[in-house]
Amino acid sequence: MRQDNMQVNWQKLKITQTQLDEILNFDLKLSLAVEIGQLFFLKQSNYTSLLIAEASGLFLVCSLSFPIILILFRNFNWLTNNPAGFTFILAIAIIISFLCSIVFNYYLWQRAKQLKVFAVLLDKVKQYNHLIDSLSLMSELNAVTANFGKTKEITELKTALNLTRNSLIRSIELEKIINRDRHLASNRDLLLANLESGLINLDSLVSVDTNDYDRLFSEAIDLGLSVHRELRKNHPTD
Amino acid sequence: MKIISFEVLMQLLRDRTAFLAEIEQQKNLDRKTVSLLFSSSIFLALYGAIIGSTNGVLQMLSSAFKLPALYLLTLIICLPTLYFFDVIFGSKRTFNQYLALLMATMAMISVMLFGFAPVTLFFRLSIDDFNFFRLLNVAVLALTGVIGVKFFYRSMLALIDKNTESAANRYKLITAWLFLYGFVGSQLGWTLRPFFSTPGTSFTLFREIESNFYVEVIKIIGAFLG
Repeated sequence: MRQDNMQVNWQKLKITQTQLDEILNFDLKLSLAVEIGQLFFLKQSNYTSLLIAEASGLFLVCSLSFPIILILFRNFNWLTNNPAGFTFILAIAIIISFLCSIVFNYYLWQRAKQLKVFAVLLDKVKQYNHLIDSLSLMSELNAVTANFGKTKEITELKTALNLTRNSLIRSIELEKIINRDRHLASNRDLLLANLESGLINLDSLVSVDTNDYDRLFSEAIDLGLSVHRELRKNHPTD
Repeated sequence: MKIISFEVLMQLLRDRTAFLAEIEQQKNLDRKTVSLLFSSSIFLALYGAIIGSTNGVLQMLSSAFKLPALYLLTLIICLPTLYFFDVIFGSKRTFNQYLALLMATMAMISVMLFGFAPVTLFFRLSIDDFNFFRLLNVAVLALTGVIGVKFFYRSMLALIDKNTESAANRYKLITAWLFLYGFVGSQLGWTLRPFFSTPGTSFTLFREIESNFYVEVIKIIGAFLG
């Protein structure tokens, strides 16, 4: 019994950041937009990292604009060579940084609204990974206190977690496809209707020769579309 | 928000082969570039603040802005030359790959300067010879620059397919470009000076453009030797 319990590799059940990166293939801007979506749409309270990121962005733009302004202003004789000149140039660099920041944040906000579904799904992944961590910890504690679960219970739990894991991954993959094709189709409703019709056809195919993989795949498609439709219904303005 | 993470820098320092392989595969190039840009700017700003601290807070702040800018602007000025000429000579790399590689070079230099920072700070606090301090910093900046450029050269060689006809020309191009990089960097440093300022003098944001960097180094050595 002890061996059965110890054999469960909980970490293997987690959805790693590398896996997510491979599926999503988001560049830095899109990743930032999704994180902003998680902060504002899901009311997550971790604003510190956002503030640090904003501050570092300001610092970078400021560092870059400072010497360019210095060289330009000096050539045009618009600069005095004293502390007042330094303050003046620093003020302009800070203003430019803030303007760049406003424009960039506006862009991120627009993208965040488009990628709201990913924010939700990635939050679910985070919750799932926390669950795995808790189970792993519980498993270690149980090993110490000799309070093992039954082999059957553990196997069922593993199966359930695997199902959840696969459903989450498939949902993200599906949403990625929907998001990619949205750029091609101007009418989202039409696109969704097409996808739903495709899904119905797929379901009918699956029901002819049902195996676990097909069922799982179908469930994943259902889950992904339902999340997508639900979000569109709740936020019709995006 | 992982743009402020130092993970990319640590990966570069610990496993350069893997880092270069990821650049070759164009894996997360934008994240790498921004992350390295951030970490190197911080390190360079710290070192700039130390060398500027010889003459008050304003000079310190001014140098803290100028030093990262010196490296960044040199990179921005020289990158298009490298990219377009290398493409003409048969390179298949993207602009972002060159940018990431150069940013890695800048990060290497900044980390080495950060490593030298306690030494520089020690001499800043323990000696009263401004010329020695200046010369020490010129030596540190030159040493880290040479090592950084060597890293870039080796990395570029690793990315060039040796079996192609144009490989020999591209080696020459990179060597020539490195001279250009050094020349632009030193002249830009000369344009952005003062980074150091004689203790007790009034704050100056810039100096009149006169002579050039190399003549001034010879003058400093002359002054130091008496």
